[in-house]
Amino acid sequence: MARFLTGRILRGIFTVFLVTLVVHGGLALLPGDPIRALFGQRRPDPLVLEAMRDQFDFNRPWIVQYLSYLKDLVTGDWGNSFPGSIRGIQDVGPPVEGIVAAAAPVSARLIAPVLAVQLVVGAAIGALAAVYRRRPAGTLIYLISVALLGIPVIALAYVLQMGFAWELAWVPTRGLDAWPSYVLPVTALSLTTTCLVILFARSHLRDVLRQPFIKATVARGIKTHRVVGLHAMKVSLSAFLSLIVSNLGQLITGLIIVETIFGIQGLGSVMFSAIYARDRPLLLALTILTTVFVTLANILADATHLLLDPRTQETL
Amino acid sequence: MGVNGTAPPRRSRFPLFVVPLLVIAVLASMAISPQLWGAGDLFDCDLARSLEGPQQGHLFGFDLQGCDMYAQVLYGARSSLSVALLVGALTLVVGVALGSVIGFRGGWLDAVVQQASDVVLAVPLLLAAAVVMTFVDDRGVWPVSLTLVVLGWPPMTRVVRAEVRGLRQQSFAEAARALGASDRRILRRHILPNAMWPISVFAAGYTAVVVAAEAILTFLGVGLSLPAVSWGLMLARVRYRVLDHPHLLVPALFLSVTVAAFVFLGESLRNHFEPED
Repeated sequence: MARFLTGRILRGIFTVFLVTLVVHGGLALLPGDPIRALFGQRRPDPLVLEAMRDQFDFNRPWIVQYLSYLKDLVTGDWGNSFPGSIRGIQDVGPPVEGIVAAAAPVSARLIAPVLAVQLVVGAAIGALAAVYRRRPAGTLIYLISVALLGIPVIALAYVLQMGFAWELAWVPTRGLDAWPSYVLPVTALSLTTTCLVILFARSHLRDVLRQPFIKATVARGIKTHRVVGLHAMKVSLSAFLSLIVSNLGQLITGLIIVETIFGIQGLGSVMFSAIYARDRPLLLALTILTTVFVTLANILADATHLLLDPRTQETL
Repeated sequence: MGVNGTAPPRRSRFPLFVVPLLVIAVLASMAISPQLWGAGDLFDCDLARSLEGPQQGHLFGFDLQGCDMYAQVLYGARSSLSVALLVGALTLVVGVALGSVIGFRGGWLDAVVQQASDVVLAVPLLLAAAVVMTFVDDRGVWPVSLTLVVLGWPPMTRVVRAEVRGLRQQSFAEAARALGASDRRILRRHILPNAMWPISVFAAGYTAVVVAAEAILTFLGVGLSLPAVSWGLMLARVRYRVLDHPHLLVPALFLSVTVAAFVFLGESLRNHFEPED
């Protein structure tokens, strides 16, 4: 197991390294001058432009820029973001690591309940659908899940916000403070993947429930809900986790939409304004950060798989 | 008799996938000819009517600029479906070509492509697309579509690769090889036709993702740019006004119906060709 994990971690590091190379290099290849673009229609002093290019390290050869960026990245110096409004040469935006450090906890408080809902609600309702698959209740769960899958997060966030602000003022529709304010953003962010988990759990648990070790537990007289909830679930759980982790990218883009619409000052809002302001240093750092996060989550999911299902250890 | 001595599951007489196909056909007719559905002039705007609700002759009311929402929503179908079909078709072509070659041959090419898709998959599709599109000024249907294809080929390629690898080892493929068929012939005549249904199930689901992706990119200000008419653009403009003017959410409804149509198409294709019970 240790050997497997070391291999996974090394491959993860290699992939993240390749991503930094491709993203940094790709941005350098794109036409246009990112500093000039900051000024829009205005005509800046060529000297100011030149000084700013130096400030943000666009003047040295690309490979030198890249290597020094990589070194700074590892040592925790992620550079300065672009200034929001340009007044003078020295005017740079706040440091990227500071922006991320301020916004990340907010997003973490949002992501944690979302992942919990996706796993717990998805597995529970999926199990019900698997047990009752030949009855109307199971078919109903199936149809509702497929239908809800058709609502993109962008539509869902608006509809939730409007529905609850307009007629049913039960929970706040903006910000993130006390628990009621979590209800709408967490629902908007978790719905799609929860439905995917339900559909997956429905067909996966059906296959698991046919296996001999389940028949053995049934034969020993263990009650159905215990067989499904404990014995079958133990095997299926890691598969659900893998599904949730493979949808993390969708969750992160959902975060941009939902935080923007609900006025939450987390990483999603930061990404939105970075995209809007064409803030290259900030975008670069956020992309790499996301990649590290997704890669790490994948490794953790694999590790959980090994822990929960001893059969996978034999195949290593 | 089926595999384990049970009767094989019976295909339903009425293929359910006709329903989502009909919905898509209706949306396509809106995209091809908005006039057919009575869409008025897109640019006939009157600021005095800004944000007015639905009324006689203007089914969905007016937007902030006082333009008719009905016309905009219909023209929005055109952007949405052109990107969806373009990206869907191109990804299918790339995925089938690349996936069948690496699935059939394996070897170093397979290893290289797998590593490349690891890299692409490590960055969330929409974040990567947003970063690329921030530096593209002329964002029409083609640039947006090509970006989504370049950043979105790995999932389709992996599905095709897995199907081809599975089918390659089956006895009918070996029989063809024993009879002296070339690799090319085995792939085209024996393997791909059998892989077609699982691939089209995935393609339908993926197209649903693309429809949502285009709307989200446009919402973020890095998808289709003006003068394009897009549901995502309409939704982005109404951000703080939705609460008082619910009719501004009509594009969200159309977007959901379009995405849902492709999701149902995928699900009904799956149920039709791989009945479960």
